[in-house]
Amino acid sequence: MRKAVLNYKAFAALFTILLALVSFRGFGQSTVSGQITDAKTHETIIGATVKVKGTSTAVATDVKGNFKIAASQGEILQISYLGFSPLEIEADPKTIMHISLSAVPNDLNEVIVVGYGTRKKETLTGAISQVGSEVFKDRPVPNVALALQGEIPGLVVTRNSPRPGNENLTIRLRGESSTSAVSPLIIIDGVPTVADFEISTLNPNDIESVTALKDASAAIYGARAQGGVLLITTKRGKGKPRINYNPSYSINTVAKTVPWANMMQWASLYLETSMQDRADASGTPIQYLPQWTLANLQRMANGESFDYTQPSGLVSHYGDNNWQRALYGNSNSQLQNLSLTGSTDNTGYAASLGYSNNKSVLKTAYDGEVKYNARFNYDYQISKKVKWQSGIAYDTRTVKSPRNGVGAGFFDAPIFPVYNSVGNYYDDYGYRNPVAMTQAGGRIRNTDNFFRFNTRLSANIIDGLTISGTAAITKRDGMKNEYNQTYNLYSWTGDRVTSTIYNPAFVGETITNTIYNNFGVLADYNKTFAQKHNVAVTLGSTAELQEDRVLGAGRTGLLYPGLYDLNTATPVNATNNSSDVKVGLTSYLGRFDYDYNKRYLLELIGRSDASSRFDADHRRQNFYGVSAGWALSEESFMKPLKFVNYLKVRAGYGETGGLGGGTNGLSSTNGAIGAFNYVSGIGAGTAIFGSTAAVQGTNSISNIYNVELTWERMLNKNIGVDFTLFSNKLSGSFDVYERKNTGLILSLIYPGVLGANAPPSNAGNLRVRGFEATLNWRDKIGEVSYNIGLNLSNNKNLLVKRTGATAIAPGQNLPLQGYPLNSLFLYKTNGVFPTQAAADAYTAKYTASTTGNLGSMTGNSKLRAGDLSVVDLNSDGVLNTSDLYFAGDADPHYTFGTNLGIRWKNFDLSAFFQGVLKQNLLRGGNGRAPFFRNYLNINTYYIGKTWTPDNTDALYPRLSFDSNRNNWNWAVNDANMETLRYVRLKNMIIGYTLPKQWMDKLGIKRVRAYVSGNDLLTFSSVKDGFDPERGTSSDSSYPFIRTYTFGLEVGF
Amino acid sequence: MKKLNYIIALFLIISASACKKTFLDLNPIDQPTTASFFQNAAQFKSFSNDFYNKMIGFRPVKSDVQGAGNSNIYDFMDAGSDLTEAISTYGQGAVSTPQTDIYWLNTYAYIRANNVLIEAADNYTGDKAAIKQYVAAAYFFRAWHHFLLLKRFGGIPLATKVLNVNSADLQAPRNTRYEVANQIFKDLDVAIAGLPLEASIAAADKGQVSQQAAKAFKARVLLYEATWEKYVSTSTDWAQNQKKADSTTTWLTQAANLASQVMTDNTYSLFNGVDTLSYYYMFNLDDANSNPKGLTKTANKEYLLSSHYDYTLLQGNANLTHTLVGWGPSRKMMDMYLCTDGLPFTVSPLAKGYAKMTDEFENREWRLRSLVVIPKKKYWGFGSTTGANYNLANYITTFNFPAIIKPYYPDLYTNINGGYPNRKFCSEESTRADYQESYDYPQIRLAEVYLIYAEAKCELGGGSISDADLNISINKIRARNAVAPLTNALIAPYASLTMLGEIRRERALELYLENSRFDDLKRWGIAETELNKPIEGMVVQYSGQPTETATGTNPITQSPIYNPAKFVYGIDNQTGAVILDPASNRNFKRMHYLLPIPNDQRSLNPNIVQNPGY
Repeated sequence: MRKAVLNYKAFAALFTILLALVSFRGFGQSTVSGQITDAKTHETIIGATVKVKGTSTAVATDVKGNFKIAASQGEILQISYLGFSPLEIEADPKTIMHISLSAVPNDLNEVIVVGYGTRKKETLTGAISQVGSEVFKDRPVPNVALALQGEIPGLVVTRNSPRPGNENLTIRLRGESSTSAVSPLIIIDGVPTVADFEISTLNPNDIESVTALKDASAAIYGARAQGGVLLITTKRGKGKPRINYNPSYSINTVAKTVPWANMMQWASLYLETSMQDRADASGTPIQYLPQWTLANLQRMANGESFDYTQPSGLVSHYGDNNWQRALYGNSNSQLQNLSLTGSTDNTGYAASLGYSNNKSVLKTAYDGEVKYNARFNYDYQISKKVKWQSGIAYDTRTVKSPRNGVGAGFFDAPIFPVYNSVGNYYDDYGYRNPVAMTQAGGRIRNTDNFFRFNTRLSANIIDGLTISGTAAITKRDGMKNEYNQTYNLYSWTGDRVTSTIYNPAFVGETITNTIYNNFGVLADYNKTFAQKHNVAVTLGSTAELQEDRVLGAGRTGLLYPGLYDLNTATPVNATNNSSDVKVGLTSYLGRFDYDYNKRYLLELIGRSDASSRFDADHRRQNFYGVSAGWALSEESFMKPLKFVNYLKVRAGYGETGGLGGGTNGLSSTNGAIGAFNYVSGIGAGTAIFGSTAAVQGTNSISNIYNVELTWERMLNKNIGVDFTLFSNKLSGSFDVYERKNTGLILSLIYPGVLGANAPPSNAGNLRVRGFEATLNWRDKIGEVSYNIGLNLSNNKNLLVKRTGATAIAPGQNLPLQGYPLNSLFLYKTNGVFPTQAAADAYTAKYTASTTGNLGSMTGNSKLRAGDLSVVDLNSDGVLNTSDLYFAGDADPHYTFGTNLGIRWKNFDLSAFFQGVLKQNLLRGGNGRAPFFRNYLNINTYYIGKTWTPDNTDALYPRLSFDSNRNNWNWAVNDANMETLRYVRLKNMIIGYTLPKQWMDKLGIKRVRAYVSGNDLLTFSSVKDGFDPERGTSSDSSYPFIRTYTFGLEVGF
Repeated sequence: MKKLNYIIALFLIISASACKKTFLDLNPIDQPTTASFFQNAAQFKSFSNDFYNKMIGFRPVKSDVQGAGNSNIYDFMDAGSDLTEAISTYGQGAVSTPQTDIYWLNTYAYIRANNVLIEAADNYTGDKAAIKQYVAAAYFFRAWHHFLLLKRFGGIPLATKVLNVNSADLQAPRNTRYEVANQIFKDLDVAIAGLPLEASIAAADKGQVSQQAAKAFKARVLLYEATWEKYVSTSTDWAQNQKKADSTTTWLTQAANLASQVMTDNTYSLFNGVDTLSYYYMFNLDDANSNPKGLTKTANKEYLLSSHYDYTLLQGNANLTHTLVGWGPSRKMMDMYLCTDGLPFTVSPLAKGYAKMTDEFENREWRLRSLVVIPKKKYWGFGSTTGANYNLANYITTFNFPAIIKPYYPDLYTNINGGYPNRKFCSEESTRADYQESYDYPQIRLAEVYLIYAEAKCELGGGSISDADLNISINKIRARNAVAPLTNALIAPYASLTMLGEIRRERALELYLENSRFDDLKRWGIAETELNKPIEGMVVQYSGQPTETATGTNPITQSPIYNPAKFVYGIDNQTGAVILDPASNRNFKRMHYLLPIPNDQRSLNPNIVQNPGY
């Protein structure tokens, strides 16, 4: 299971010490002494080779990085160490030389984790990207997946909310691979996660590297690798004992809010809208509530703050209130991390403790995530040939939020205050007080405790052959406690408003318990024949079992204020439920690598998976991958091209499998293939009978089963090139790929007469094509070293085939044959009606035979001048769904990330930009137009941009309160689609390392202070003021968050 | 070293052989499967129990089918008919073809479950007599659901087998209206033969369908189809030259016979428990706090079949009181109510006109006070602060109302409404909150059986019916509401009154908000005439004078009662009433008798022909 990061530094050290011992010869020359350190980390380098140029005199640095070598003044010392740029320096016997080595950029010797093993980067033949711990450093982002946003070409991480713990992340590697959501398979130290969200529980500081297997190289994970694989490797102990303490403190600020209106703007537009819409005989505006009279609206528009006594005697109060400010404000977050790493001759250890408390900007109630992480990785060389490796981790994450009202503020007109005249929650028009909702309406607490243990015992049987046994267990204890509390609202004068009970009280508890076991045996064989034929073989077998148990209970009615346990709720109306699902997987896997002198490379991968999800006769399937590479730069004909340091072309072909969603977690229920799709389950429920009402049991069958259902199969084709040019300054890679899902699992829709959902079946064919490019430039100008990196990727998919018909619907569609997933179909418009006569003629023309879409545009909803004119595309005299046209897909395209790093003396600066260059955006929800409901707040962006008889060249159609008109003008027309494009400065860090001489006095190895900012700058094409990462919805007014962090790194 | 080799080899062998059993041969452990079900009568009963949850009632019902959604009881309360002030686009004749229809999807899913039980019964090797009533119930509900589809869409594809994805029947064309009706009758015959009499249903199982309920339901379908054939004929059929059943007379005779069997059975009786307000309290009968007599649901012997709810076990979940108070009667309905002499308001000498707000409520039948809030009177509200606290000794006349309860005055000043708040299906209970009303929803009740009988007899008699037949049927309903009986002699002096007209009036009044009005207007072939008249509210001009409504002031708020500017459609010159929805907004046509087949079904099965006009 575990294949550790090869401790190449240690190997290299041993090797060079040996070399030094053999080659050391003593001469009566002067002695030069010095210390060699890593330029970046300032740590001493053990085992670096120091050689006198032109001689065979060489030594290796000792455990303190010190060396002594016989050399005389003026001789050149050649210093080399694996992974670092070689250095030549004039020997100076008079002083103790302080020499620092810089790591080789994009070193081809970098060790890449490839699943059940590691490879050197130069021998890779697949589309594999790896990032290291620097991605997680110095950032106030305690979520691993979020920190990966934009870092790995082809990996798209989307968050639907900036709320910590409630980000609703979607992770995609090389785009969609199925009609259902398929995330990459996430593997932590060789152990697959039990659920998608498990990645969010990790401590980013524990991570050494994250590797993405993007093409057929993922086939080593067979049936679950359809969406690619992310391999997460945690840090292991090496080198001298080292203690690091990294505290950081962040301020979260409200960065971007939609420009919601204030009272004056709101009331003015309200008056305007009611005039545009339909004024009654006396010109009184159309009202929603009787207290919003013409006179009152005019006073609001003037910005007055006033009391209004309704005819019934009830007093209302109106005054400008910015709900955004009432609900959201700055908050603080903090992160603490303490780690201890080190190694001795036969043990290696890495222990860490992490704490983070990350809050959202909701200021009325706690809304955030608290994490505690502990990890201990331990390696022990039992004997010369037998090695024990283990990792143990306990991660606990608690997300606490209000149960109601988060994101509120938009559904409330900005015209009444939060509190009434005596300081109670004020109710203006029926339970709408978002401050009360978030503060007093109930809470959710969701805790997940993960215990992970993995171990590997390996024995080096004969030269080159290692056999290992692995075992791992993951235990998840999820506990969700939620309650709704009845909160009281008051009239302006202080009477409790009791006509409605706001929020029926409720308590619910859900315990989710998962136990996952993973056992494996692996054999690895590495051998070089005739110095040039390198062979590596891995064979193995694994067996996995996951059991998910859920126990849920709920009660309605709370008995005692402040107590929210099941026990403190009314025992009547108690409900409970449970489920228990077990799923297993057994697999055989193999990989064969061959290279000729690292020049011609070949890799074969095979995996056979059998899953308990299928009927016994359809259980096992085989997956494979073939890839080859050719390191052109190693050929003699390339040698004249001096600027080429390295050049390799590679190609891969292979098949992976998937469940049609739900990649992570064996018993994951969000896949299209359920745990037991080959049988029909009988559901149970209740009904009420009896002259004295009593519950009786009921049974029902909901599904039709399909024994022939099997995995989706993903055919991956990839061609790529890797290069390093201009003395290793420029490096990069470029890949083009095609992926074909040949067994797309679809729940086909049959005529309603069937009376049931058709079982999922392998009935479709999806094709994805795309490219990925990475470029990195590293150089030094004087004392300033810098690097610039860019990655860009794009893909497009096409649903080549799906059995069974689906109708085209307006807006975003379900999968349609011949179109990409998430296709948008819209109506074409040709401007607005200039006159009422034109609108009437249009209405008459298209309702002559049948009403079609105009069926709802009658009475108060009839079309007016200034409303959009929709084109009858097929000219059949009816406006209906057959007039829709394909307007593209709704996926993000051309996603990119840019890294910038600058280092000067003790200062370092890094910046990371991320963005999307093209996406179609069809705004949804009630905020997509002014006044979808007349009590909503409105987006001031639209003010002055809508059609009126005096402003006939306006950008947008005429205002209305009428939902039919608003749906006509603001829903699924070409005029409503925007092109989204954005660049965001995700992160910028400025650090300063305190001079070493100061630290030495304090006995501290290293102190670095930094300030960093998250989401500092955004350039976006979104016109209506919404955050570009937010998606299409407009119903939540939750603002976007910007974070400023101050942090320290202290090393002992 | 060798030892280690052995250990590893052993581990390999163990892991390989243990794998299949431990890791692969897993079966569901939290759910039974089809392989092990329908083994005994109790399982048949349990399976049939779920059918009762699938009748559309207050509580939303849905199916598991993709695209299906929750039913909404307000889709089945005649919103937008000529009788209520609640306006609907359907009533206005503004109908466009939808992409999907949840009632199409849900209903076929419910029928599938009926068919599953029927087919399981065929294969059942146990005692078939023990499962007979559950099989009969499956036939009953199959007919029940097919009737909903028939009323909504006309002839639809029949589902009488459990289909699978390869069934050719998935692409079957629509059956004709007459084939569907005949299948419903056939299924109901099986149901009637197999269902127990109400008296034989154990106390714990009350609520399960009885033989009498099946007879009453069959009578309802027979009357529906017979009158449809008579008055609508083939004018709405989706294909020309469909074969007609030509059985109007047979069906009407059968309807009358079945109704008569239920009427003479004496198992059921009209609810008369709360004197003048029996008609009001029957529809919100919940626990003993729901009415001044302390009656509970057991006091109601009028419902033949109902959807059961219970405050503790299964609440109605429909926000009835809050919603329905705004679904008051229209001007037309108000004028349809009878005076105590048995004559309609328009002709009765007891009618007092509209000058004062309370005038039209005088000398009127009890049903009116049960259904409508009368101006200047005090009423209990709903919920914890204004809900009822009955003084049982003098519960009708002098409730001991607390100060918070104020007399009702119409508000035509700030609101656009008819001025007659509805009371039917609205609760007065203080221990209930919104969505917690838990009275039963009547699916079939005895009063309807009386109405079916009278109408069928009158149709068979070519428009005339004997006093004796009236006395055993609708005159019982009139007696409950203190209205003089309908007799041939009563209406003889009035040329404007016909026997069929009076029976239809009785039906409109009695079944208000009970999913009957649209169906009735359509099967009588008069929907386009009746629905296209304006919808109006209170009278503000009467005999050339403004009424009290027009001039009065609400003494509590000191606000005028009426604001003419609010009513943009003005006043109807003939009735003097405010117009809520003018005739120009109403465009109901013959094509709207049936709803369009949703687009998705036609694209999934191109053999399905659209209804005419769409």
